[in-house]
Amino acid sequence: MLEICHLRKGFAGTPVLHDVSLTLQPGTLHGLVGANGAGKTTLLHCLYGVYPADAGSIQEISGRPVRELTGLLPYEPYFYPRITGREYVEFCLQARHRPVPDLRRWNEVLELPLDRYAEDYSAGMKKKLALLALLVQNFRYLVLDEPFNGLDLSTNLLLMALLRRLREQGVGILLTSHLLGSLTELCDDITVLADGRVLRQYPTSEFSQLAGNMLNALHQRKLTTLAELLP
Amino acid sequence: MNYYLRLRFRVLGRLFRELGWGRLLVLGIFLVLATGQALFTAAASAMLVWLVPVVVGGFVLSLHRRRSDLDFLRISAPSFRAWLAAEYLLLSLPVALVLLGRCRPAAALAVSLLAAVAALAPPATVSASCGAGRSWFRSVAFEWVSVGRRWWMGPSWLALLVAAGATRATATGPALAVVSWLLLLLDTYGPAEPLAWLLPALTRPTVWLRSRIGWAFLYFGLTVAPLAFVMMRSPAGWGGTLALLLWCALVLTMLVLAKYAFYPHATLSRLTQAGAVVVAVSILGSNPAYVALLTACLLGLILKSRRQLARFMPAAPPEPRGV
Repeated sequence: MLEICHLRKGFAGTPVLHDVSLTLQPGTLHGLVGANGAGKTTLLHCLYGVYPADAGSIQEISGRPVRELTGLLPYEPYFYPRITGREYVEFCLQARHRPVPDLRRWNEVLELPLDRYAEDYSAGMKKKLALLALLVQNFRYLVLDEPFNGLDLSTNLLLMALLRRLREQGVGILLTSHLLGSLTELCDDITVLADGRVLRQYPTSEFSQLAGNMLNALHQRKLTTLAELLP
Repeated sequence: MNYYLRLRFRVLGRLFRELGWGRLLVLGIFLVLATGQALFTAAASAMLVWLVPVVVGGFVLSLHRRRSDLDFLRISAPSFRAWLAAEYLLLSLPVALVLLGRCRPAAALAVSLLAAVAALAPPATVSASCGAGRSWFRSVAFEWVSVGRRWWMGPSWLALLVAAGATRATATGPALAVVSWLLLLLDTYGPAEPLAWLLPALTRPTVWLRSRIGWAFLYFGLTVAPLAFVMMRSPAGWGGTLALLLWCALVLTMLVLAKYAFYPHATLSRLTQAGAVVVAVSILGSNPAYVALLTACLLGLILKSRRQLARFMPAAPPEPRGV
């Protein structure tokens, strides 16, 4: 289990995360939602150790390093210029001293032109390529920042099926998305983050309240104005 | 580490192939000759040789802090700092070997050490100014904004002015101050702006290039004026000052053109810029062949940068039928 306890993080004196706590169980899908600037990406980067935490703790219950067990899909994956999709995946594996498997079976699912330069891929293909590099590494946990971003409808559905399969395999997945419908359909728990604080954590049984509660919490004044404009 | 280094060499090889072997040969010969000449001159002096580790270390540090792949490496490769240290060590090796060959082992060791240590530095962070609002001026003269963010440019300019004033009895002192100021400004025109900036503003390649060169001239002209005034009062006189300013204008022009000659590929643009500066410096030598080479380079850069930018122009709308 991945455990984040009382995490605090700020940049140049401006606090971004205040006392954030959440857990990620293996074999579960945990959604993270919040407005832009709520601190979702900062939280994911702290979890992965890209940013050191100012206070609090992040640990895997077995005591093994989080990075060793976890794969991170960044919001905007980076690709070297003039590197093919295949070379990118191979490099990601070699960088962690892992053997390079045959990519053909996985690529039957993702359908990527692996021998073309990755920089020429569309946004959705880039996301899929970065995901492929994670999928072939058999991580125990996956941290996915906006994985649906840039994907077309059919790939979106495929990704949802893929995430469900991974959950069945025992992988713990923490993902952020602005697509509340996709999250409520997929996740076992959803955490709402606002201004760097955990507003509330919702189990599946309470997902029906999620949209209404979020709207009230984030836009109460605007809703009042709206009610006056459109009585 | 081997796969990382192999990947970097492979990527560099592909970029070089795109640059073209002919261009690379000319560029390479000039870079090697100019760097070699500077190295041999520095190695001949017990004092000057210590400038080499400082310059190489500073150069590697500057490259390292601007690398766009640092976050990617941090995520995908836990031991990436050691890889970068090895890469920088390899990069600095030719310089260290030359120094070693000139019996300067301490300086050679310092070159390698400083280059490797640069891998530990954190990436450069761009501080977004919250106070300054969007304005027409900021959006068209964005290079000026970039200079304004470098805190050391002001004190450096002041130091150069003081140095020029203190050495005004000679022509060399103020001239070196002008050239140093130009060299400090060169970095401003290094990194090309992202496509998202360029595309909305690019109406015609020629107009864009003229405007970039014009803003570069204006900024350089305004900031170099006090230094040029001191130089004019020195034995260099107005003739020498004018000649040096014309040369500076030529370097700036070539630098801006080289920035767009292989846009948006940063590595190719930087290599071309380095070549342009070396070629421009070479005319200070007495051989008339250098002037011909410089003219060829300038014309080549004009054509190549215009052609490259034209690729990013929106396609003309189709002719309406029946007209």
